[in-house]
Parts: sequence; C-alpha cells; structure tokens
Amino acid sequence: MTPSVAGIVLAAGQAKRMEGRLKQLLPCQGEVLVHRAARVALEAGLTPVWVVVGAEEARVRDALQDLPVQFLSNPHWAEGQSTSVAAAARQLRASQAPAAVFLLADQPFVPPALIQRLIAAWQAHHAAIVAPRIAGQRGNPVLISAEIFPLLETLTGDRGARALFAAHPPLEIPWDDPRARAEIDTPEDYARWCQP
Amino acid sequence: MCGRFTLTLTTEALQQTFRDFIFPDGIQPRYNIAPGQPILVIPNDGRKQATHFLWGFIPSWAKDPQRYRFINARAETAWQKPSFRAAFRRRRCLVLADGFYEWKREEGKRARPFYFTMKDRRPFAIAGIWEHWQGADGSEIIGSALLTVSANACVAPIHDRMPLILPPEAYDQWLAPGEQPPERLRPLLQPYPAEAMQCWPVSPEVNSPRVDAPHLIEAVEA
Repeated sequence: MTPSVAGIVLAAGQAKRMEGRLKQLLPCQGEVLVHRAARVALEAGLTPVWVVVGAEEARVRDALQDLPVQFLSNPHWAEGQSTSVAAAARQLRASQAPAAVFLLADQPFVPPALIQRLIAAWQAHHAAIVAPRIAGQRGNPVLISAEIFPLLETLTGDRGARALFAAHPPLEIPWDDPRARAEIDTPEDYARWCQP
Repeated sequence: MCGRFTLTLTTEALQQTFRDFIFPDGIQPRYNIAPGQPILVIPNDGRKQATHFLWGFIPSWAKDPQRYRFINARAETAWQKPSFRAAFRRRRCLVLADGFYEWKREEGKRARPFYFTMKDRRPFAIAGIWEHWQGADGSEIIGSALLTVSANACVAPIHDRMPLILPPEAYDQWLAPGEQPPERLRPLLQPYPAEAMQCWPVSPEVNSPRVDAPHLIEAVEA
C-alpha cells in the first residue's frame, strides 16, 4: 500500500489586519475558519492532517477538538509563516509522507474536489509541485512532493518562497471558480465573504 | 558525474568534526540528497559559516533557471569554461557530505547503485562553485555545482568520474575569499586517495529522490 498524501493546515500566525481578533477563530458561515480548513482537508482524503499551531495555541486546538487531526506546535510562529512550513516539512520527512497539500486557514472556500485534482495531477505527472491556477492566477493550496521537503526546511521569509517556485515551477491545474481564491485578510474581506 | 550524496549527521556531530566552521541549528540527517535540493555548504566569503545553497548551478545569464542547471562541473575544464570560469576564480565553496552514490552501468542490465564512504566514516568536503541567479520577478537562487575528477581505484570499477573531495589541509586555500588565479588552485584538483575509501552495493530505492531514509545506505546482496 502506498502511503497517502498528508495535509498541512497553516494556522500558527496572528493576523495584523484583523483588529486584534485571531483570524483562525473567526466564524464564517457557521464554522470557524481553521475548522473549515481542517474539515476540507479531511474531506478531500488527506491523511494524516497536521494543523500547525502557534499564536493562542490552546484556543486553536480547542476549536478542532471534534476533528481527527494532529497538531504540530511552532514556537517560532512570530518569525513568519516560513517557520511553520519548515516545522511541517520536518514532520513530513520524519513520517515519510510521499507528498503533502499545504492549506491556509484563511482561505475558507477551497473545495475538497480541488485538492483531489491536485493529487490526481501529482500521481499522473510526478510533478515536484502542483498548484491551482484559479481564474487565471496561481493560488493555493499547493501540493508539495517529498523531494521538496528538504528545501522547505531551509526557506526563510517571502523571498524564499519565490525562489522555491523559480527553482521548481509548479504544474498548474486550471480551476474556474474564483471563490476558491477568496482570502480573509481584512475586516472588509471578512464582511464580504463570511457574514450573511 | 555525482548525482546523489548523503550527509547523515546532525548539527552537533558536524560541529565536532568541522571545528573551524559554524553550523546552523537543526540540521537533520539526509540519506538521499538530490539535484534541486538544498546542500550544506561553506562559501568562500571569509565567514566560515555553513549555509544552504540549491544543488544546481544556474549561470547568471540564464533567463530560465530550469533549462540551465549544472549539478557537476569537470575540474579539468571548469577554470576555462565560459559558464564556470568566473565562479571558479571567485565563488568557491565546500559542500559537506559523508557519502555519495554512483551507478554501475552494464549493457543489458539496469544501472545498479553503490554507496561510497570513507573507511573511518568521517564526513568530508567536496569542492563546489556557486553562482547568484536573479529572476525578473526578484526571486533569487544561489545554485551550486560539485566539481568532479577522474575516478580513483576505489570508484573506477563502478564509474569513471567521482566528486572532487578535498583533504582538510586544502580547505583554507579553496575557501580563500575573493579572486584566486586558477593556476594556484589547480594543484588541488586531484582524486582523493582510494585507500581511504570503501563502497558497497545498495538498494535501487535510492533512484527515487522522494525516498530519504537510513536503509538506503545499508549494503544489499551484490
């Protein structure tokens, strides 16, 4: 049996633009954002699903009590998301996952079917990185194959991510529905996407 | 050609062997370092601090970093090849390793991997050159190639080339900051003594860069 593709939900940060509220825990159409991301990962068949936690770790864990996910603490979360990605990569390498899909806790409308398309493309084409092209723009979530995990462990900051894509251009999967790209980054985004 | 190698040590063990160099925390053992992945290097910037470069030398003139990516450069000619000569003079590094793989190709058979280490299993340094590449979108990659030389008597039965392993007494000269005339460096471009090395056949699982586990370096039946 081949081991299955793992899921990583990045939920360790503390958003600066959300007026002091922890973004991961904002309710969005009846479900808090991090719960929604983790549930979508599970529904897509990702196994196991690791949630990287940091800021207000206990509250985030509490919000996911009912889901069969595992937690990964990132004590260095304040130094940026690259520290969460690196922590996840170390865990993935130790558990010998063949690939992983990285989900952001603030993109609540990624459908499970999109994740399954990424996995199918990875299986068919052996690409190192697979990303969706959502309504014409490269987006998330991104599937990373195991040979890239060591590189994720060495990334720092945003420039590191760009270098990663320059060195390993993603295989892009077209996806038409722009809602999959919706990101809750500001109170205006939140009002637009999450409040009835 | 050297297309895979290992560095199966943590920060603490590296620090004990290479006492002159400074290592970042959290280095994890690697059993199958492949092109396109990070490699642990000491650049010749005078700081003697280990850092990660990408394995794959991208000439600065390359528009597409995918098309031009050299994992090796022949030591005999790197000092004069247009793609490598500036880096050979100015941008050298030590690439840290404790073993490497080579494949024995025989007609009609699948290539079989062998693992090479020092008899005392100590880590060693491979001579490398590096280049800074900048993309139009501002992305930066520091890519590196391993120099290769003719195989010594240990490697020759398996493959005709091997990485250029430098003895510790050559580190200072290879890492001298700034420009060095190639004539001064060329005496260093020698195959490492065969007597110090050993090898054994290993599982073809190493062929997949997705596999990175301790059993890859274990001997299998020849």
